Amino acid sequence: MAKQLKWKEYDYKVQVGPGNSWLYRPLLEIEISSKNESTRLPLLAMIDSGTDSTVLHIDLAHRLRIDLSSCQKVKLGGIGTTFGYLSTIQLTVSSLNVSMDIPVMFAENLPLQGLLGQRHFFQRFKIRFEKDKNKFYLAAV
Amino acid sequence: MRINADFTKIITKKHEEKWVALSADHSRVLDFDEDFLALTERMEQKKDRYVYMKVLRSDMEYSFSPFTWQNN
Repeated sequence: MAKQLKWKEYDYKVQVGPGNSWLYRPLLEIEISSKNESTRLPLLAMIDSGTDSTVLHIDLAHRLRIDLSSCQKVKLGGIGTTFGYLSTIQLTVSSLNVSMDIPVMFAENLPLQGLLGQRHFFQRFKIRFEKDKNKFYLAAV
Repeated sequence: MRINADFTKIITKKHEEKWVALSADHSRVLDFDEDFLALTERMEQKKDRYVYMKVLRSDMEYSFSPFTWQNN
């Protein structure tokens, strides 16, 4: 018998955009931590189905005391190119009571706090976007 | 707890390209700073729950995808 999914509903966050337009973005509250540091950082990260892996701002790595010199340096491409450092962190979605170890890229010059991408994050959740209602839904799989 | 989704009133020009700490219900900006470590130092002294985000500029639209990666 198929497993019954428990969908959790979230609102898109709305911010002011160009020309005083309103931009709706699927921001999810997560917590991240590293094995080097007891601090857990709560942040709103954007679910981005077009991003391959999970990318976080490099400032977060500094606070988690991740030794970037020991991390693999990688190139991140999109519109423009930047560099990142590959590391594994613990990522928690408290609203779904899910924690997982996940490889992430800590990127220089990322304009926002983090992007939750296809590899690893999307493999752990079913995700439904209902843009017409400005709602999105997650269920742990 | 009702979680606020409308940031149009609470996040303003002065917050753009800076780190902000939002209240647990996302309804207030508790503090903000360009320097994330300085912000975390202040916030970790407090007992309140909070959540961080880095505020995007309001005068542009963003396209993040596709982020691919390769060994350097």
